[in-house]
Amino acid sequence: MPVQLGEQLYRVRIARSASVGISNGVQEFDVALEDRMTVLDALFRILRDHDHSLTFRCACRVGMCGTCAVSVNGIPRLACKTRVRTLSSGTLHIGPLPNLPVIKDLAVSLDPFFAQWKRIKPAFRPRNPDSQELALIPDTSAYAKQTPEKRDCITCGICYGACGVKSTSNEYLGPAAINKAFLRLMDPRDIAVQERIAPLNEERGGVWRCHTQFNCTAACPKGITLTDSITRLRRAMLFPGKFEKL
Amino acid sequence: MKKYLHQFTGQTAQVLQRITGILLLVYLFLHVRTIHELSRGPEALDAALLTFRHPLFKFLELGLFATIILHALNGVRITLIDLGIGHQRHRRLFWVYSIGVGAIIFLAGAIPLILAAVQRS
Repeated sequence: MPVQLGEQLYRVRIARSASVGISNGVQEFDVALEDRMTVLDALFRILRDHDHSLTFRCACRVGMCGTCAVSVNGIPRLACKTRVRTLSSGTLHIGPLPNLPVIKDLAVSLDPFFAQWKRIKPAFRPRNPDSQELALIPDTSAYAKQTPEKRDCITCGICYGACGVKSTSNEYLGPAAINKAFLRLMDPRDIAVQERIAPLNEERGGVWRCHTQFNCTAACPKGITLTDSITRLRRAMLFPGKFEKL
Repeated sequence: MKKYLHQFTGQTAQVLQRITGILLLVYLFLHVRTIHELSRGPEALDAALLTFRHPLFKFLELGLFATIILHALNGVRITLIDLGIGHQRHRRLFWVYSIGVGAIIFLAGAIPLILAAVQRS
């Protein structure tokens, strides 16, 4: 592999699917990369120069869509936002997101993630669905003041992959779905309270399963304080009627 | 890789809490088993306690002391987090409070224990 000026040789170890014919499940590539390049750049270089069969996902390439989420050196991250120089290692270990079924190589199915997402009824349920007026968020509401950064979720599934509880429980809702439910419950315009609280209060899948490991908060590429949403929901649920707006 | 490990402090704290919890459970069984000897008379209890005079148990005593401190301080840390306190500083809360303050308490208790053991021997 010729190394150009400004480039450095990185060893990239990628988890491959059995269908590709790799005996131990990991394939190594020596890839010349510049420090400012990202893990996604490395994957494209491998795809172009080494192995055309490598499968991974990406779309926006600027950290907006969450499609390129993979595990880099054991940490779930967005490949397009992770520069190789920040990894302080000459070897990159890239694998699919944990806690999700692998379709091929680095591409995972987000079906389990969205199955949990749907359980908390994520759609906005206004008081009057037939109203023609804009449903404005009151500036003075706690929702407007306390939740702006929590609304940035791009449903990349990284928190789902990083969650230690999720790795042992199929029933657990996962941090993103709980955060979404928290936002809807905080929203003064939304009325679907009880049907959201029901899955949140489940013994095996609800908020009580969280072990406050902060993995989701640490891994979230948008900096959402997911553990804070979960613990705030727990405290609120100790007092029935806290979210009741009817 | 090291650079990212600190991000998962909460995971480290949780694993430590589980390990220390299991160790305390093991100790509790041993403790109840020893106290149970009292039902067979004072001599039986004395005989059981004699086993713990072995130097190995002095080391284990220090280990028990460290386990109790770590489990207790980490438990308080978890309670604070559940109450919404220290979310932004949860890593510092673990390393400074649970580990740092825990180490100071351990040394304050362990040094007299070691000195007393040395004087007795």
